[in-house]
Amino acid sequence: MKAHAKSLFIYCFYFFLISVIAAQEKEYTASFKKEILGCCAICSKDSIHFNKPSNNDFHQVHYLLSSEKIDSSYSYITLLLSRNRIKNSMQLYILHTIKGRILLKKKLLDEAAISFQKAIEIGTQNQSPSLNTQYGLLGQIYIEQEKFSEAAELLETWKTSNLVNDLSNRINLHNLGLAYLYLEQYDKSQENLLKSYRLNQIHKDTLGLARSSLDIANLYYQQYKDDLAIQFFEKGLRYAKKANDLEILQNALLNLAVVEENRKDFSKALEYRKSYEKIKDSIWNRDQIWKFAQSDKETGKKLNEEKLKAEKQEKFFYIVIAILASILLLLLSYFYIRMRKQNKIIKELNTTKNKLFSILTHDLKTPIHNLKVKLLSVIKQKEKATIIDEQHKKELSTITEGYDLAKNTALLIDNTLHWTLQSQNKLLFHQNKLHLASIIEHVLYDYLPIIEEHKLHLITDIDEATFVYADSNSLKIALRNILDNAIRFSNKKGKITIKSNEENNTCNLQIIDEGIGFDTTKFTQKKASSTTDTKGNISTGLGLQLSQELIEKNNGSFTISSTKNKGTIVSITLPTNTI
Amino acid sequence: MANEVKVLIFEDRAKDVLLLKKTLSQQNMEVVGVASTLKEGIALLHSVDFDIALVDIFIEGKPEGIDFVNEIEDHKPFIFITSSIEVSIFEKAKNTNPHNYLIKPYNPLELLFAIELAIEKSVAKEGAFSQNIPIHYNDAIFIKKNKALVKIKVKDINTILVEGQYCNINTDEDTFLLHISLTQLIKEFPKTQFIKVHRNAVVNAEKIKMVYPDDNLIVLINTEKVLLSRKYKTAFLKNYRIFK
Repeated sequence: MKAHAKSLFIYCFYFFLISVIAAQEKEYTASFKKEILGCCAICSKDSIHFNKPSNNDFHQVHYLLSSEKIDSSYSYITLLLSRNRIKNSMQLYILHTIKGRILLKKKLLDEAAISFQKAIEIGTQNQSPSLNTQYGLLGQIYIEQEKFSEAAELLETWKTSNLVNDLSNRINLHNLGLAYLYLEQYDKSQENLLKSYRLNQIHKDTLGLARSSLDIANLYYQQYKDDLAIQFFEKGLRYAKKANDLEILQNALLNLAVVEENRKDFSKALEYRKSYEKIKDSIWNRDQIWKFAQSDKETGKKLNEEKLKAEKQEKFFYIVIAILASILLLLLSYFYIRMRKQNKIIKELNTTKNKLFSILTHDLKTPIHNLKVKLLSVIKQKEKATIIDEQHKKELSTITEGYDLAKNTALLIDNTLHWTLQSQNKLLFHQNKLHLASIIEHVLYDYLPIIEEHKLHLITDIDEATFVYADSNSLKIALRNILDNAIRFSNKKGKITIKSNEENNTCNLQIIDEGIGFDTTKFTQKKASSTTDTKGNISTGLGLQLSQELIEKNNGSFTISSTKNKGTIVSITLPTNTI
Repeated sequence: MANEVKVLIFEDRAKDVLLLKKTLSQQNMEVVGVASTLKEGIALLHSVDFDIALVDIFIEGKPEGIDFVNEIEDHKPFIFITSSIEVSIFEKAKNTNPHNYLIKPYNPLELLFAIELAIEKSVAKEGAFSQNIPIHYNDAIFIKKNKALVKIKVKDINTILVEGQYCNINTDEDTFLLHISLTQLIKEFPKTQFIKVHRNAVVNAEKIKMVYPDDNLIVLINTEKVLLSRKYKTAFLKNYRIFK
């Protein structure tokens, strides 16, 4: 039973001490403040500076403490103390005192005790008036450290030196009583506790009364004065209820429950126990609520963290996208620049090619044509000759062959040039009303010597009144190719017919030969093919393809039909009116 | 010769000029001047009478031909000659409204045809020559005869006489036999100057020396005598104030 009761004391006392510290830390006692004002270089001039910061280290110590920046204050203290700069014992006393208080606040009891011991040592020499407070505080520390005899000794010193009737007095007296209770000096304990109790009564401090009552009850109970003990326990319970302090109330109820149980009054004990449990529950509930709030806070925090995480991820995502986009942009611009460079090169190459082309064509076209003209004039002169023998015939034949070659080359050059310009859409194209018979005549002009040479029978049957609407240059090229083909694929002394008829605003022109014919499938498939003509020359068929293209460009149509060894018919239709 | 088509050439390549001259002379045409620079060309335009100009677009690589044709009198036909068939060059030349283009190389027929076509175009009578219709242009009558273009100066013509299906245009030096009806032919002639005096005769009024109304006879300056038929006599005499 005794052990049980003792455990209760500690329980009660523990809470008691906390409240003592809380009461002490609030502000300086008047005497301590006076001492600070007396020895602080800043505050001694004018007390207005007390609550204002300055660059004086000592001033900063008490300024920071009063503005509850205890860590900064502590660092100033250690700085000042470590350098041994402070020679003023008053200042040293204040520094040690403040250091002790801060350490006490931090629950570093051993360190705090050392600081207070030093402060008291210096304080006693100076007979500092605020020394009492320090005795009280050190006493509390000793009790907490369970150094009860030291506590009792110290508090006795405190009791003899000072008795100011304030809150700290009651607490100190109570503590002294507690110390004696633990030391089992019940008389001294009773004296001090009752003194504290009476002081509490004077000050109508219900909480203090509740504590005092409970401790006095414990004191009596310890001495087996059960009736007195119960009386004080019940008093304590009443004060505790009045004070509305759950811990004290719980304490009182638990004590009463234990006491009644020992008295074998189980129904009362049970009642107290139940009430105790209830309060325990409510405390638990309060704690639980606090815990919930805490966990709520934590979940909130977690949520926030997740949110932050998500935001971070989002941010990261956007950053990645931005980086990718910029990389893409860079790549694109790089390729763009490269393409432009390539384009430039291509353009340059194209220009060079075109230049080359025009030089080639001009420089080839003109001499070949001149050669053609020269050979033609020789042929014409030869034809006029009066003496016609074998030698003459041979010569004429050779020259005509040369002429044929020149003419073919000229056509080849012209075809190439037209083909290129046509594919670039650069070919001159100007449609006009054209006298068909004249156009045919002009085209035939260059072929007359060849026709003569091969003894071909040429029949032209074009209506003099027929006009077609076409571009003369491209039409002539087309006709040259068709006619060239007809001659090349005709046998010697073969017949070539060129005839036209006009109906429904279109003119149908046919070039018919009775030669060896050729396979037209390759032509219709638009594939370059080579066919051997009657003279053993190879024809590429490109000329006819070009013809078709040019006729179609003139809004006409081009058809070709050929039968082997029977001949070929090329049929062209051209519009006779402006479309 | 008086009855040749007069051609002006603007070309810097001597070879081409030579070829042109040769071809044109074979076609009964006369080259009245050759210029190889813009300055020469403009000087020629002011000093020489011509029927048609053959103009190379590029003179030493510069399109001076275009500048040159801008100096030619509005109604006179000209032909652009070029060896290029690229559309870009023609785009430049297009605005000058050439009467024709001739692309090198060309054969004599093509040259002749281009000239004919240009002349037809200048009086807006395309296809006239192929149908044997004469064209009155530049104080002359142009008509195709035996595949050649013939130019007869109006002031040189004395009479036009019908002979069967043909018409004879008579000048002091020549007689041109044309396969065309008189009615068709005289359409092209200035009406006040060429007066029908007979069913088969038209007379250039400016060539009349004497008229003998009583004898129904007209005597021309070249002493040629033309009969004035009774049918046309009144109409003919209306043109003159007769002192009796």
